[in-house]
Amino acid sequence: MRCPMESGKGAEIVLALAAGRLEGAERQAFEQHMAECAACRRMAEAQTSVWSAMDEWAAPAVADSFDARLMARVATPEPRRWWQLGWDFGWRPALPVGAACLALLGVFLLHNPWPQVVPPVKPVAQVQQTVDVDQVESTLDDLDMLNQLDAPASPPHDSSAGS
Amino acid sequence: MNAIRVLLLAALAAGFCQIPVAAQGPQARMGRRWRQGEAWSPLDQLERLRTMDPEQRERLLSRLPPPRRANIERHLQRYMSLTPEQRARLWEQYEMFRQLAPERQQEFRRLFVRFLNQPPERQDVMREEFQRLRRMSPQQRAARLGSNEFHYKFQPNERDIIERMVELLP
Repeated sequence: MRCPMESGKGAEIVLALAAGRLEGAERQAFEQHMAECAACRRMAEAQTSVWSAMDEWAAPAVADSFDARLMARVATPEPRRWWQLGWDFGWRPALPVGAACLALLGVFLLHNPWPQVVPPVKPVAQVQQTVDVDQVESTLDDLDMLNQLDAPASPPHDSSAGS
Repeated sequence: MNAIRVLLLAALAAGFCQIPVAAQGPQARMGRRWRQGEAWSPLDQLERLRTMDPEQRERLLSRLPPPRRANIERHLQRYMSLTPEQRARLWEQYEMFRQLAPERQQEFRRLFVRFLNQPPERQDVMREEFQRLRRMSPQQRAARLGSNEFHYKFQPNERDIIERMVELLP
């Protein structure tokens, strides 16, 4: 027989032996192997002694009043801790109150929208909102040029225009 | 009936909101730009100069050299003498001109100087032809520019001025 310790089945076979489940040819083969294998023998002896000790142990008898005391303890309410105080209301009444609060918040936000981030307005002084005389002169020259070209009748001929 | 009236009013209001910016006139646009903190366009500035009180205008122009000041005052006088309709038409022309790239604007100004260098009677004929070409469709314009009549009526220099001007500002 191949050593059960090497094949990985050592614990299974030793437990079966100690429990008395190992029988027949298998038990005989393992007992022959234990005669030659010290490791399996030691393990089997150790396991057998555990089982023997468990067989010898007698559980203490349960008192007759055990059930009565247990039921009395179950019936007695456990004293609350400090963090458990104040949480003894049910959640059911809180739901409509919460929904009403949410609805009120919605109405409030609808009428008082969240303040929006307004881009900074360019200071008026930074943009061209004054009369630039050079620009006006150029515009007048161009307008005069276009007016002369668009005029229906003989316009006054201004040789200085466009210069 | 009431519903129809409401719909008509809504359509009118919507149409009013859609009035093109160019049709609103420089003063309306200037006011809008002032409120929005935007820069004034050249026409806005000109309108500001036109509508400012004489003392303020005097102060503004007094800093200029006399020839420049005289030039501005003469042109401004001519501009102010236009009827509102003429001024509106001129604004349209100017907006078109401003759409041109700066170098093309400059080219148009050079052509105008060449135009002014022609004899006054030839200027009248050239102006009439320029206006006539601008009223034509592109196909009609091309046909006119290639016609014998156009070639016989104008000298090469005149033809060049007209052709290039109408090409820049069709």
